[in-house]
Parts: sequence; C-alpha cells; structure tokens
Amino acid sequence: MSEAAKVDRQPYWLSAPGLVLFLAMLGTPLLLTFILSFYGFDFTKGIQPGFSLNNYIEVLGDSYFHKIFGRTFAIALAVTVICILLGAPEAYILSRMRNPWKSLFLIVILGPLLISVIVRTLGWALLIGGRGMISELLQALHITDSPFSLMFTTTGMIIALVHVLVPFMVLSVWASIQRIDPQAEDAALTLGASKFTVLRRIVLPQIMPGVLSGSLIVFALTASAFATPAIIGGRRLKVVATTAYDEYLNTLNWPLGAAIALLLLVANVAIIMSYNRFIERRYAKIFE
Amino acid sequence: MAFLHLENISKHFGEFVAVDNLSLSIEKGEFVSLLGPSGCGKTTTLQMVAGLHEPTAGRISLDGEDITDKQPNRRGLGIVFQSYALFPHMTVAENVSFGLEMRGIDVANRKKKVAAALDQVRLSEFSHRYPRELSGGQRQRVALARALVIEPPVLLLDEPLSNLDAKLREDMQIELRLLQQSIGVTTILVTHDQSEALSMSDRVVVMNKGKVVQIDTPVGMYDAPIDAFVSDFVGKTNLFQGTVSQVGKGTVTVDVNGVPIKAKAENLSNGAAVFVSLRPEKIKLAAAKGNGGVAGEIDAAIFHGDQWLYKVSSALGDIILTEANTGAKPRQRSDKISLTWADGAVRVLVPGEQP
Repeated sequence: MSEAAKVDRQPYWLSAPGLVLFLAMLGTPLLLTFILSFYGFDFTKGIQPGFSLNNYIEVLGDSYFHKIFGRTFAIALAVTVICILLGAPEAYILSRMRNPWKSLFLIVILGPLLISVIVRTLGWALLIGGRGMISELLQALHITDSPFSLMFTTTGMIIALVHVLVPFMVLSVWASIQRIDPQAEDAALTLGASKFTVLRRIVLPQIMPGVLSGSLIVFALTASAFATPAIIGGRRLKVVATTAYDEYLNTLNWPLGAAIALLLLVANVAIIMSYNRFIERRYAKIFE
Repeated sequence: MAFLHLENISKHFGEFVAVDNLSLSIEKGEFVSLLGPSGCGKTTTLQMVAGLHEPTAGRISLDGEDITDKQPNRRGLGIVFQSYALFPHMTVAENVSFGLEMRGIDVANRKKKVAAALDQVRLSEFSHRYPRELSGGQRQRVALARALVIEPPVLLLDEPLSNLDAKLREDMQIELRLLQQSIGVTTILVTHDQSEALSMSDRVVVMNKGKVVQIDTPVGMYDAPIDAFVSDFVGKTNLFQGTVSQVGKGTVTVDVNGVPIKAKAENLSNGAAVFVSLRPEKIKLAAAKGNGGVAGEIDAAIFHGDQWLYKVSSALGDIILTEANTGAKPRQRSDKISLTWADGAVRVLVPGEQP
C-alpha cells in the first residue's frame, strides 16, 4: 500500500466511531420506522406485517390530518417570525452592551435553555392557566370577570415555544453580528446616512444570514416540538408530533404513527433544504 | 483663518487623556500627516474631525464654520478607514454610490460620478464585484473612491496603507499623493510609519502622549528635529547622550564618552545634558589612517540593494551608517575604519519625552 493511500483512508477511520454511532442510533430506528409505516393495523389483531400505502393514503387524504399538519406549520411559521422580531434586535442590542451587562443579559437570554423543557412548560401552564396568575390578576383588576386562560390555545403554545426558541435566534444572529466590521457603520454614517438608514442598509443585510439560519433552526425545532405542545395544547390542540405520539401510545396504531412521523420528517427536510438552497444562492457571493 | 482649524481640543476617556490641548491649522489643499507611536492620540484626533468622537474640550472649524457639534453624517467629510470598512453586501459600484445616494443625487448622475470615481482609481472593470472578490490593494482603492466621490472638503485617511504589503504600499503612496494633488483635496493622514508621512505630506505633525511635539515640513522635520524623541521617531538616527563641555559663538562642543563633538547650537550652557543626533547617511567612512576621524571597527555589513548598512563599534558607542552601493568593494567585518562628518550634520537635542 502506498503512503498516499494510507493517508487517504485516515479520515474514514477517524470518523468511523461517529459514523457507526450515527447509523446504529439514528439510521436503524429510522429505517425500522420506515418499514413499519407500510405495515397494516387491526384493532383486534394488532400490527400486520406487509406492504401497503394505506397509512400514507389515510394521512394524506384525511382532512383531520390536513388540519393538524396545517396547524403545525402555521405555528412553526408564527414562532419563527416572532423569534426573528424579538431575537434579531435583542442580539444587536446585546452586542452593543458593555460588560458586565453583556454577560449578564446573555445568561438571561440563554436561561430558558438551562431549564428542563417540562419544568419550563409547566411554569407557563401555571402562569397562563384559567386559575393561573395572569387570570387571577386580570380578575382582581376587574379587567375580566371570568377566568382567562391561554391553555389549549395556539396563542399559549406560540408564547411558550417562542420563549424556549428565541435563544437559538439570538445566538445565530449574534454570530453574524460578530463578523460585522464596526467601522462599516461609521463609514456609512460619515457618508451621510442617518442612524436608521445605517441599521436598514448596512447592519440588517449583514445579519440576514444569521437571521435566515436562525429561522431554519427555530422552524425545524418548532415543527417537531413535542413537550410544549403536549402540555399546553394537550389533546384538544394537536400538532403532528403529539398526534404521532397518540397513535403510538393510545391507539397503539404504530404503523399509522410511523407514517405520520415520516411525513413530518419529509416535509421538514423539504422545507429546510429548499430554504437553505435559497440562502446559499443569495449569499454565497457576498460572504465567505 | 485656516481652512480646517482645531483649537485646543482635548479628548478624555474617563481618566485617560487621549488628546491633550491640541491645536492645528490646515490650509486648503494641504496634505498633513499625523505621525506618532500607537496610543499617541492621532486616530482619536482624526475621529474628532470626522465627528465620530466628541471632543471633551475645544472647537473644530471648517471653512469658517464651527462644526464641533455637527453630527458625522452632516459634516460631509470623506474617510478611508484602516480596515477599509467596505460594505460587504454591496458591489463595488454600490459601495461607491452609497454616499451619493444619501445626498439624494439622481440615478443618472450617480452612475456618471461612480464611473468617473472608479476610473480615477483604475477599477472600472471591477464595478460589479463584491469586496471579498478583490485584493487588499483593490479594496483600498474602492474605499478611496467611495470617500472621494462625494467631493468632500476634507479627506481623512486612517492608516490606509498599513494592511498592504511593502511593495504595494510604496506604489499606493505615490498614487495617493498624485491623486490628492490633482484633485487638490485637503487631506489628513494618520500613520505610525514615518517614511509614509515624510514621502506624502506637505507638513508632518509628530504627536506623543496626546500632545503635538513638532509641526514641520518633512525635510525640516528630518533635518531639524526639535528633540531626541522626534529625531529617533522620524527616520533612523544615531543618538548619543553627552554633556556640553564648551560653548562658542553659535557652536558648542559636546562630550560623548570622552570624544568631543562639535556642532552648531544656540542657547546651551556648559554642563547641560543633551543628546547628539547623527543621521546614518551623513557619516563618511574612510580607511583608518589618522585623518582626525573617530576610529571604529565594522561589526556587521548588511546589504540593502541600493545601499550598504554598516554597524560600527567606536568610542562613541554603536553606530549605524549607510553607504550607497556604487559597485565598489564593500567593507568587511572587522575592518578598521575612521568616521568623519561635517559639523553641520550634527544635531544637539534636548531629551524630550519618551513614548
């Protein structure tokens, strides 16, 4: 074996442990789920091995599922947009702060990520439930007479999801702000631009890659989120992830659950890839 | 009154005094360099002229108008930043066009001016490229075109050549100077590179610790530095510490390590501690034959292409001197030689503040 060939193989050996782990822990279950999604199901006899597209036909043809998929992506879109509106300015303001405030606020922003998703969501449930603090406060102030609840509403779900996902947007935008040459803002200013124009014409276009990649993360995580929708939305307001969960654990119709899960995966991947392609085409020339 | 006038300006950052009571008058069309070691306040001074820093005290006026409190986007000055500060998401043409757009100039006129500006810096073919597709020198020229296209009353250059390699830097020095002279724009250059300041400016302002040390023409600055700091900072020199041992009419003799050195100087008294400065190119080398020169021995001979640089040890101490490369046989290490110079080549200097 020549020296060159030896060197050439080295990367494969080095990445082998990771690759094996990836295949065993992600590839295999995914493949099994894929096979499972073509099986049949009978309420008396249970799972029936075989090959049919019935599960897919059922999901794709039923308006019940259409509504759930529609709701899931609508929520994902709403959460993404709100995260952009909150996260991008937040990251910019944060980058302009001085220490120790900068470090302090960074911790505050990353805080939600440090708390268990269940605890955090239950916290929201305590706040926004019919007998929660907000409801009690509104009643005490006589703004409303009946209990006010955001539980089992899309609004409640969006609030809780934004709370946990905004840090991803902030971090993503933060990363692209770090790459901005601060002198470019001074340059625009001295060329006669107002502070607002500098923001709009110089800063915003340069943080767009961060906003777009942050959107990808937030959208993908929202679309496949489970814990928050399960607690805030419950059975009344199902999303795709909770629906798949219910098919698995309540109806015990594993093949249908598998089909739902795979359709979510395919939709997610399709959206993300086309979006990513758009970003690359738009920004490849400008940024390294 | 001068075109651009800085009157007793100071800038404090908390306890730190970046610029201390600086006054400077610049005539229209003049090219002035602010020269000094890093942290001497030269960039802060430039930024105060640009309006990016507010002076703690003092006034700045331009063409008779007080601009001290004017916002940077209303001053209309052209600035080339050290990092060039190009807008990475805009093409070369869009970068240059930005300042015109902010002035509300219509598209047709804008296009014409951008084309002319890019032509001026020889970048016409690159107008549709993005900054990251350009070399350092090209980016530098885009920054220059962007600053000049708005026809600013004053052009401010903040170490514009420091990111270029040596050869390109020399080319750009010449190009920049020619361009400045043909447009006639009043220019302030901030630099820590003394050769840059000397080769490009009408006048040089040497700064140290926030204060102006000397303002003079490049030749004046080089040949008649006001103190040891300027002498050492502007150009290469041999500095010797000594004491005045004899005072004559317009001349003194300074004792350096027991060697008497004659020089022209006024207002010095016997016993004063001074520095003696001798430029390397003003020392003549001869074979050691007792011609009254200072005896020495060559320690090192370094070839610079156009000249030889010799390091010599002598009774005065270590001396560097240069000799043009005339094709004659160079001196060798350990050669015994004798050093002479004209009395007028010697400068007697007060110590000055060290950076």
